[in-house]
Amino acid sequence: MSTIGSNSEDLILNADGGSSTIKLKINGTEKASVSSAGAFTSTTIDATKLTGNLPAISAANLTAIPAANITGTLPAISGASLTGVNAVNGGRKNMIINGGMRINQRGAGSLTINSGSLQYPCDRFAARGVSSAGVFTIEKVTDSPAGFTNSLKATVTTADSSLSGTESYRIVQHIEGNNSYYLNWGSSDNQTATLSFKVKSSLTGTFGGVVQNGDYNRFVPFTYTISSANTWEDKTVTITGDTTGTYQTDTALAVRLNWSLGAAQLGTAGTYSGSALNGATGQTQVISTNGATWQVTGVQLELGSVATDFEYRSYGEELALCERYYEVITGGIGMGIVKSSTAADCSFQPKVNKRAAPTITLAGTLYANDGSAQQGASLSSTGGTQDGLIVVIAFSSLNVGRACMFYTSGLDGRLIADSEL
Amino acid sequence: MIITNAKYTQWQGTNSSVKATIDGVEMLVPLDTSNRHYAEILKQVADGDITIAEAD
Repeated sequence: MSTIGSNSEDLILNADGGSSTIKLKINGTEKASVSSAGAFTSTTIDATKLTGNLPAISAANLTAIPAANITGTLPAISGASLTGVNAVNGGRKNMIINGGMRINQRGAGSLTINSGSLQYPCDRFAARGVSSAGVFTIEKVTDSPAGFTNSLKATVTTADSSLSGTESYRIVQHIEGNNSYYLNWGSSDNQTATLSFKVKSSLTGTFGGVVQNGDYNRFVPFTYTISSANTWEDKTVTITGDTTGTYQTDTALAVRLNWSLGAAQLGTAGTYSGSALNGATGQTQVISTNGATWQVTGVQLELGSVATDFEYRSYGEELALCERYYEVITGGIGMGIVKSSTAADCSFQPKVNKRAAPTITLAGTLYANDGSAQQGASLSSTGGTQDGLIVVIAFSSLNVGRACMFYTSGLDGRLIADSEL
Repeated sequence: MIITNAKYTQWQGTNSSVKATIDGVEMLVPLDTSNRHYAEILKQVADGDITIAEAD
């Protein structure tokens, strides 16, 4: 072993010359050096030997740091210093109403879907089957992923394994133009939207859906993959806005958001079509497997290309949003006037202004009291707007000219105002 | 929708709604084209599938 050393005095390695460098080599290979400018360079610095505070290093010189190596709590950083970060949508960001499937004013249990008529297993979400060949049931259940209390569950009870023509089985939410106008679909200022949801199925593979405009002449399919059977999975779908077609921006139906359980009219995911499509090419035809199940909850559709956390709303807010489309009234219905011995006009003021003048249905028993209580018979007529109605109700024996109160007894009677899309 | 027994009803002497049985349920449907039931009634009338009886 050879040693260059000194004892109680400096040891100087001197390399004269304008750009001379002191180099340390092992087996002829340079391992470290000191440049004429004083820069120390080493092929490897033993981390255990780095103690104390590091010198201030310009962030510009910190490159290629693996994200996995950034752990722990980040320091507080001024928002003004965060640039190039995708904006997190604040405020009312979710165009979907009742995305957590909690509101169920109709009290629907398990519904059998065997026709094209929309049926609502919970508020705002409907199911339909444009064929009688296949049948599935749909119901609101409590089986749900963390953060949710309910989901919609579809179960195939009669398989349709030979889909053809316009046959289609699907779960859908219809979105009003007033709630989606800012997507600017149907224009050159088309905005991207992101759909996120939680899904679970007894089947695995590629599944499909389709976004349709209200006029039913613009269609863009989408796909998502379910990897594990009977396991809740998070899915995100980016929807590039349409540049053509008409998307309503008022109280009319603007967008139909469909999850397909089976369809014959299939198209390429992400490609718009002017011909009717009800699913995506290559999708799993859930309806073809008897006993197959498919569940969904946590549905959110928002502006932008990033799926943000689900927007939780208070129960009261969510209920009011639902009541714009469907409202059940029990107890005190309204006040009115007896105009004949067999009919009375009832002034009915909905709790929430409706999207459009609502269809009125009476379920159970309605009572009138013009001094003595009488049991109602049936609805005769209605007139009014989305803001308020007069409902003419037939009774057997009333006293003309008297004021009259209309009511139900408990939950037995219900006046229903339906303004669904 | 399966629509039967469609008939105009009146309030204040003018037609104000259609009383009809829709998918097995009796409903009062306002004459508002934004109402999906009325829109479907108009469609089925235009297609010749149903007619709306005059009010009493």
